[in-house]
Amino acid sequence: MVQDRLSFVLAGNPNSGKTTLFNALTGSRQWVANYPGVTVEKRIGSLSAEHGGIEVVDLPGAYSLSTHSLDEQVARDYILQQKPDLLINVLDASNLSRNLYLTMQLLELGVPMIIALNMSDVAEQRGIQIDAGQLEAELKVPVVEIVASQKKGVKNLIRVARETADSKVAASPFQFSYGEKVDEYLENLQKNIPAGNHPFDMHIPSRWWAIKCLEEDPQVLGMAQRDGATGLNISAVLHQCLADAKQEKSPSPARLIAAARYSFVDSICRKIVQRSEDSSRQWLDALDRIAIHPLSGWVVMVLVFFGAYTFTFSVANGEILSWAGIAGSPVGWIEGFFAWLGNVTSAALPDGVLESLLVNGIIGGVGGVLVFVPIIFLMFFVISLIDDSGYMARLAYLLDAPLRMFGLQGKSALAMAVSGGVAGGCAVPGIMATRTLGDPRERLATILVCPFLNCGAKLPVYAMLIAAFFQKWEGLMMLALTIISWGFALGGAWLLRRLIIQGESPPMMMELPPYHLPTLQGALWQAWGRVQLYMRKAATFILAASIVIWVMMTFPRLPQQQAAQYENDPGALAQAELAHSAAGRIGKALEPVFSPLGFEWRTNIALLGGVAAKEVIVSTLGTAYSLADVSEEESGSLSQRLAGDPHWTPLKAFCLILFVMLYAPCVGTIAAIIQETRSWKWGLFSTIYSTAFAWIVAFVVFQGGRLIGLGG
Amino acid sequence: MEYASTMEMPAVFGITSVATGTDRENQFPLSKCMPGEVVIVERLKGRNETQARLESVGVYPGQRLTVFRIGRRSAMIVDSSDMRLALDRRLAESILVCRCT
Repeated sequence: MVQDRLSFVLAGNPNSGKTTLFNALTGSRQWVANYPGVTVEKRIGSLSAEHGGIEVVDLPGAYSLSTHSLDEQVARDYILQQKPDLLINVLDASNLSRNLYLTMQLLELGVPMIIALNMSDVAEQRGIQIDAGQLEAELKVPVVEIVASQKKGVKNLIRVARETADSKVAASPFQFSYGEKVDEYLENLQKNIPAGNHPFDMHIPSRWWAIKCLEEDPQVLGMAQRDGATGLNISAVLHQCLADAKQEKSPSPARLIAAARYSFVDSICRKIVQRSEDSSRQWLDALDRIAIHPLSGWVVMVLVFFGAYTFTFSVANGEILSWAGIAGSPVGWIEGFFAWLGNVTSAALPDGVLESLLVNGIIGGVGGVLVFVPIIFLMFFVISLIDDSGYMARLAYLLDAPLRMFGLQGKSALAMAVSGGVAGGCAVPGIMATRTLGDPRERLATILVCPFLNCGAKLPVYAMLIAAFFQKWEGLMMLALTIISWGFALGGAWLLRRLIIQGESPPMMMELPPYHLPTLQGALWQAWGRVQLYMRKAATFILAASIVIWVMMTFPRLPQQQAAQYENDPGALAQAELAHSAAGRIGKALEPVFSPLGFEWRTNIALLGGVAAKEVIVSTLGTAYSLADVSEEESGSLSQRLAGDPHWTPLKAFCLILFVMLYAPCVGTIAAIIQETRSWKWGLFSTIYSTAFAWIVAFVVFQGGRLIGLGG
Repeated sequence: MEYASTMEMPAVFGITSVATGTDRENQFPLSKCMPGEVVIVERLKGRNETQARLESVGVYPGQRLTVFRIGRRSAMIVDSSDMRLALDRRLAESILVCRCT
């Protein structure tokens, strides 16, 4: 690793308190990025200047250095390729045996390492006493007891970490005997993996590579195969080892290695762990009997969803703040800021293309997307609290069985609820929330159906059309639309998993960590990390998309002579300008495609504008129906106009609602899909398949409705 | 501080495939257990990757498991050492156990 300063890496099991320690070490000096080529979050930070500003990286949680999950693969690759100056292995003192299984593997890498024995307070509560000094003597690496959530022992940890990194004394690999037979296999393999030899040239001991070969690690064997001679030799020795084991009716070498590791871990635990009665177990059992019970579990889940949703939107929209005497809302403040910026820019520049580009294209477009920042921050703050409390795993367990019928998994439900499963959410944080899903196929299916749910931006469109055509059944219609959107999302997932994203889901295996109080600081940093990712996207992709859409709705300009005809009628002028623009021409060109759904050219333009943001549908319809500047709040007048328009019927309005629910996601969501799948292909696919799906649904409903005499 | 770099395994794990030497007829899949039952893992079946995955979360031959809950259609929940695990029924089928005596 080419760098000027030291680099510490935090490695450990999931739920070992690694991220809490990372927050305690780095405070505000942290940021989030993605590991190259994947969407696993990379949390990077630095120690304070007082401690030398050392770089600290929080690796994803891993149970082993095999590659059973993307997180484990990323953690292993990072250690192998970046060769950090020091590994800080975070151990959960209340679950030492399983945590030490990873420690054994880390020690064999030969990277300088210390152990942070975390959560000793929780261990004590559970009647577990650990002799840290004895653990240090057994493993021959420094062990520091900490309680990361209370920042206890953190300064001592930094001191020991710096001493170890500076002295490099632990750099010699820990050599562990796996028994005579396995050791013999390993020696045979090592002869074919000379240290530093290509492709195993990452300064890792050849014995470690030999162990991975004997464990039949697909990634390592793949690396060997790419190098012809080495691959052939390794393959021959490996086949011989496996044949020997089979002949002797012995378990495979991989099983013997794991058994030997646990045998060694058990022998250490017998020496260093003392147990007394665990009174907390009764509490855990009692809470779990409620949280995962088939009846009470669902009640708790609905309450948690409702609480999370209410908190997020009440704070974002200012309802809770008004109780504290604070005027306005975070969403309103951002809207107000961009409105002010637009006005200032407008006043400073003469009317014209530049002014329109800056005000309507850039400030309006990016501002329209950045208003979601408070919602994203609050939603991830709540998700982080739920996750850290240990409840998220229970929620995923409870929902797993019903969602598996549709090719999804338990954790998909949260992403879908955030996306608008509870009407008014937002697909962008929902899609970002799919990062907690382990299986890439289930994750992709969830990402592709999240936009079907009723996000907050679709609600003004529904409200306007319901007010115009279904006023008597307002409440019932909103409930029906929520159920319909869930039906389409689940049905869509079922179809995608059978037709496009095929493949069996891996069997569920999930830790249900003990419940504990989450830390406020940790939740705030997690939420801020997500906001940073979102804002980076707004500054790049969304900015470009906003400009493209503005160009389409602005050019070509209406000739001066034609514009002069509407001098006293700004509404008619706006309509004529829109009709003359590229978007207007496209709207008219699309009439043959959309007239079977009952839509005419003005609706087509509004739908095209809706790709920028779904709220734009209302304002564009307003412009197209000669209402000049129609805001979401003024949609009532548009409702009256549409209700009185002979072209519109309740059937057409319902088809438009269904089409808006299902068709291409907004630019922000498409950007989120591209970012999360790391592929333009899926962003494009989502746009095309959802529009085709929306067309089919609206066509069937419209033509079916006409056939049974519902008008048209 | 000076650290040694060689360590011997204290107890060589048995070459047999079972943890307690129970006859194969007395082994049964974890999925057949009842809530509250305490069992010992005898063998893991299935693909190498599945077995390695189970081992990495602490399910390995010789380990004692307590069944906490069995859902009708959902995964089963077992306590292993100091952790609680939700295991898919398919995975539970691949874990052969015997009753704790």
